[in-house]
Parts: sequence; C-alpha cells; structure tokens
Amino acid sequence: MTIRSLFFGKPGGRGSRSLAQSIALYGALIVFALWILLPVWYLVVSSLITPQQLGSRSFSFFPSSITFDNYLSVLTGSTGGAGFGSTDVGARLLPAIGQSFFVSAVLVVLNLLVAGSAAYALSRYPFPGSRQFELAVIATRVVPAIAIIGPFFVAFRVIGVLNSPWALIISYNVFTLPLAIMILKNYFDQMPREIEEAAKIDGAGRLLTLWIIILPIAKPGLVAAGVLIFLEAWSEFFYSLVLTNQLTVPPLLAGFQSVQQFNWNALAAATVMSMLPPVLLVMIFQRNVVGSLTAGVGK
Amino acid sequence: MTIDHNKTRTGMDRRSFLRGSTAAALGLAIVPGLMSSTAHAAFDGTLDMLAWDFQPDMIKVLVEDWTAQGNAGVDLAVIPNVGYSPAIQTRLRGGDRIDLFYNFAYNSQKFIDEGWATTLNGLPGVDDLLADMFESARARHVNAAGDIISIPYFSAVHTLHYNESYLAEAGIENVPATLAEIYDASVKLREAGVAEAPYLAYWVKEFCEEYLHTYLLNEGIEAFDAAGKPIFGDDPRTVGVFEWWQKMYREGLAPSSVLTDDPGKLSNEMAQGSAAFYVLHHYFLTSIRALEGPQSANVKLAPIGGDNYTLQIGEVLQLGQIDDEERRLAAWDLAKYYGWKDSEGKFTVFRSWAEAAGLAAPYPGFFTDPDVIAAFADYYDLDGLSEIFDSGSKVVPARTMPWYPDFQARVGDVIHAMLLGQATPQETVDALTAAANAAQSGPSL
Repeated sequence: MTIRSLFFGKPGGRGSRSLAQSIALYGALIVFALWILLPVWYLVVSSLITPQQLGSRSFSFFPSSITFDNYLSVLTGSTGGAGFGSTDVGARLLPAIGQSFFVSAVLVVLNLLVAGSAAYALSRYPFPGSRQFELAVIATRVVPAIAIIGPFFVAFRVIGVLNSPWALIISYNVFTLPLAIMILKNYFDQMPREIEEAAKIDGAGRLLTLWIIILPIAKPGLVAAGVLIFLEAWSEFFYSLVLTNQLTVPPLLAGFQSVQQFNWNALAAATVMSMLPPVLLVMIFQRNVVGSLTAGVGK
Repeated sequence: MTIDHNKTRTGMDRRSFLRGSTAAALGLAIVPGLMSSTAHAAFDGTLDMLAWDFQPDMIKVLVEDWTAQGNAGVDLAVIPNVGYSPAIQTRLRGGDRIDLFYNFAYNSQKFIDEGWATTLNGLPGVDDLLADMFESARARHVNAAGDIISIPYFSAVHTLHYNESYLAEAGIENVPATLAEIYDASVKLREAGVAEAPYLAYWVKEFCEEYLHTYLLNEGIEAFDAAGKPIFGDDPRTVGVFEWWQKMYREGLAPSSVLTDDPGKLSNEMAQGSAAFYVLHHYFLTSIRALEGPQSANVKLAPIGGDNYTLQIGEVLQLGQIDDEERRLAAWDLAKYYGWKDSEGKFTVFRSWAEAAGLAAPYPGFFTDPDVIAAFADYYDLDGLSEIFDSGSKVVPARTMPWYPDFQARVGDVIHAMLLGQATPQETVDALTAAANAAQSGPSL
C-alpha cells in the first residue's frame, strides 16, 4: 500500500479504499487533529481559569468553573498585580493587533503585485538563467533573519523609518516575497497557456489578457499566497523586536515573560485574542489555500 | 585584539580599588552631604534610554518624575526581556545611540570592549555610589583592572523557599542549609509522605549555570580565580557537588519535569503544596504568596550554604558611549537616580521594584530605609535578607567577562547530560572545565 493509495484510493474512484485503510486513515487524522488542537485547547482553557486552577496538579482539561477575568484584565490593561509581570502590556495589545493587521495587510497587497508579476514573468517568459534566478530567490528563504538585520537597521536609521510600520513592511519582503513567488510561479505553471493564446487571437494585448483573463483564473492562487504572506508577517518576532519597540503582536506577547516569571493566564488570554484575526482569515480562505498548495498533486 | 583584564588602566587593581571604596564609605558616613553631589549638567536635549519589559509603565513614571524634577527629557524605549541581548547589540552595532540602558551583567564587560558602553571612572559621585554598596556586590560592577563598568539595576540572592508546616509534619526541626542537609530533609519529607518530589529548582538549560555557582558556593568552592581561570575542577569537593545534584534528580527528589518547568509553574507547585523546597532568587516568595494557594502562607525564606555562601545575582545599568560631555553628565545623573538614589538620598526607583516584586538593591542603606521596609511585604525578613547580601553571598566576577556567555551557553547541555545519566560527575567537571577554557580561547559570541 502506498501513501498515495492510502489518501487518494486506488485508481477506480470512490469506494475502492478498504475498511482497514479507512480506519487507518481516519485514525491518523484524529491523532493529527488532537496533536494540533490540544495545545490550542490548553491555551483556551488557561485563558478561562484562575492562576490557582492553572497551578493545581493534574491540569483539568474541562474546568469546573471559568472566568473571563483574564480577558478583562488584558483589555483593561491591568495584567500586573503583585509581582505578576508587566502591568500595561494588556493595554498595548489592541493597538499591537491593529499594527500587525496594518503591516500584514499592506504587505499582502504589495507582495501580490510584485510577486505576482515576477512569478508570471518567470512562468511565461523564461530567459537564460531564469531557473537559477528562481532557485536563488527561493534560497534566500534559508538566510537567518539575524544575519541580515544589521544592514536593515542601518538603512532604516538613515532614512528615519525605525520604530514605524514601514520598517517592517520593507524588511518582511525578505522572506515573504520568495514565498509568494514560489507559490504563484507554481500556480501559473499549472494554468493552461491556451487560454492566453485564445485571448491573443481575439485581439487582446498582454496587459488586457492579464487583467481580464489571467487574474480571475489566478484568484485562488493569489488568495492562497496572500493568506500565507499575512500569516508570516503576523507571526514575525525578531525584525519587529529589533526594528521597532514592540509595535506588533509577537514581541508584545513575549513581554509577558518578565524578569522573574510569566503571567500565563493573561498571556493565554492575549494569545487567544491575537490568534483570532489570522484564524478567521484562514477559515474564510482555507479552501483556496489548500487548493493552491495541493495544485498539481493529482497529476 | 585581546584585552588583558589583569592590567590596570588606572594603576589600581580590584583589591586596592575595593579597599579604597571602603575607606570612601567611611568618609561618606562622616560627610552625609557628599552622596547627593550631582552633576547638574546643562543639557537641554532628550536622553535615550532602553529598558526591558518589566513593569514598563513603572519605568515610564519613574523617568517622567526625574524629568519633572528639572532634569532632561527621556525618550524611553521598552522591549521584551526575551531577545533583549540580540536586539540591543544589533541596534548598537547599527550605530544607534542609547545613553542609558539595562543590560545583563554577563554582557557588561563585552559592551565596554566593543565600545558600546563607557566606563564610569571619574564620574561625579561614582566612588560614593560604590562605597555605598555591599562589598559583596562590587565585583559585579568593577572589573579586574579597577574600571567601573556598570551600576545596579536590581539584585537578588539565591535562597531556600521552604514550606514551614511540611517540615514540621516530617519532624524536621532545623531548616536545612547545606546540600547534605537538603538531601536528608528531602528524603525525610518523601518518606513521611508529605511530598513525593520535595525539591524544586529552575534547572532548565539556560539557568543551570546559576545553579552551578549556587551549589559550588554552598560548599565553599570558588569556580574561577581572579583571572577567570576555572579552578573548580582542582577542588576535590566539586565532584561531590555534582554527585549531590545527580542524586537529587535521579532519585526523584526533584520532579522529572524540573528540567523544563518554568518558574511560574514551580511557584505554583509551592503554592499548591506539591513540593516543600524551591531554590531560586529570593523574590520568588512574592509570587508564591501572591498565588494564594493552599500552602502559600506556609512558605518562608531561609539562607542556604550554611557557613559558606550563596550566589548573589543582579542585572545592571550601563552608560552608552557619549561624546558630548553635557549629555554624558545628564545621562549619568539619570543613571544614579535609577541605579542608586534620588536627589534627596531616597531609594525611589529600588523602592518601586521592591513594592512591585520584592526585587532588592545591593546597598545596606536600602534595607534600613523606612520607605523600602514599608514597600516590602511583611513576609520578608529584611534583616535576614540584608545579612545574606552582606556576608552570606558572593558574586562571581568571571560572570562579567566577555568570554563568559560562551561558557554559560554550554553549561546547560553538560549538566543535563549528567542529570540524565549520560555522564559521570567527574566527566561533568572535566567537560565544564574544558568548556570554560575553550570559551576563553575562542572568539566570543
């Protein structure tokens, strides 16, 4: 039995998977789902209980009583108390979510324009060395952030954009653009060229063809790339830490770990709140994301 | 380029300097007005200060109060404690100008060597500041050459947090102090059914290095000589320390999860009553009590080390390289206020940290200041704590040397391997000695 036959069944279509295969498949899916969801459930439960409940032995996955005090303290900014971490980190959470959203959204728009053009050009107008160029773009993904942040810092200091969203929008391109180019190039490669040729025969120019033919067809791929860019930008920590003073969500959440300890309950509540925008986004567009990332798998 | 820290730039070695400081302290007692000598710099710009994210609103209030007293404005930036080191180093390497910043003590000499921080020699009042300090703390701020490289941001000592009622229940009359006594008491507590795994310590890899010094000092062992040469391996008692450490873990007297547990969880364990001992910085008592668990009120503090010592730790404030003299003096005024006393001779900033979380300052006067006493919760024995700072604890001067972070980064792996039975105590001693030597001979992190 191959992996392919396990997940897609034998040639011949539906019903060709044996009962044992189905049990194995669904069993694996349940284990995988638990593996993914248990930490999230732990987080949600932690955000709804008191520090005393959180600290009691044999953590209860179904607490007997819940409280929204942790959310309230985060929203009102009073996450401190006697010796419990930062006192105003909560008050900065909503502005940080707003900044994260702004940075991620602007980056999505810019990246789709730039990466879309680059990917389309690489797919449709190959040139000598274009494959190497593409590989070089992808290879930039493996360069650690800390290795290249120094020049960014100097440049941004000179042009005066440190501690602003623009420092992040510009620098995040280092890792989001290659990702977007990679996804979109793959997507454009899957699209039949005959449609474009037909449009050309009908008299449409390149730009017109791109606008009225390619873009609508490529919409799922663009949405998928956009969602992934958004997620990458949303969760980035180090650039935001160095180039700004806690402008976005990840360094702010790290701030819950103080010199001496963590305020786990408030951190859990803040994390749940900060997860909502990206989770909602993925839920809305998950069909596009999965479809685009698996494009070509069945071929 | 290598820097010889044994050579004195001022013609004064550490011993002479500290002796001189003590003399200055006596002079200070005679002339109380000397302490409040501030530069009153004619600086009308804004100072840049970088701090990490512990009570940022408090930091803001403190520096605003300073400005409101007629001093310079402060442009304050606060970033998380996690990632602080790479962030500040990137900023400074990138040409950022920071006049005053929090720093980890282990980075303090490195920052001087890199030209990111300046020595404080000769600045107005700096000798008074040092003289005001516990002698035990000075070696953290004065390097082997006698240069003053930093001043305190906060300080703490490793103490034993113990559950008083659990000890009574197990028939333990005296609070254990030495490693052997702690082992015996832990066995008794388990046998009495009071706590299955009574001993907690923050043994995650990043913190093993602090415990290394705590346990060595508990047995009266010096880890490094004045030049930073590792000498713990030469002391036959060192193997015994590692045997104790391994036994505590492998016999289950410390829970198996202690290699990954965070301090928040460990404090909770004490508050809930699943353990009887917790060795870490004294201020964790604040969090154990604040958790209001069924055993919180029974947890108390005791010194460790018996007739020997415990580890005194603390992070520091450093002054950036500032070319403009007026700016430099203004930054120094801010530093003194933040790391020592305000213009009225009060520990305003330290009192705030004491109130917020039980943090301490390495000044004898801090523990006798009525405002500070009022700021500490009543469950702190301030006289006892002061005594630990004064005569029951030591800093490890090597911990400020530029190569030290390389060694520090290796300690966790070596200790965990021993705890997990992959190395003998003797092999551990050898591995740590080799790691210290390698750190000193290679390029620093």
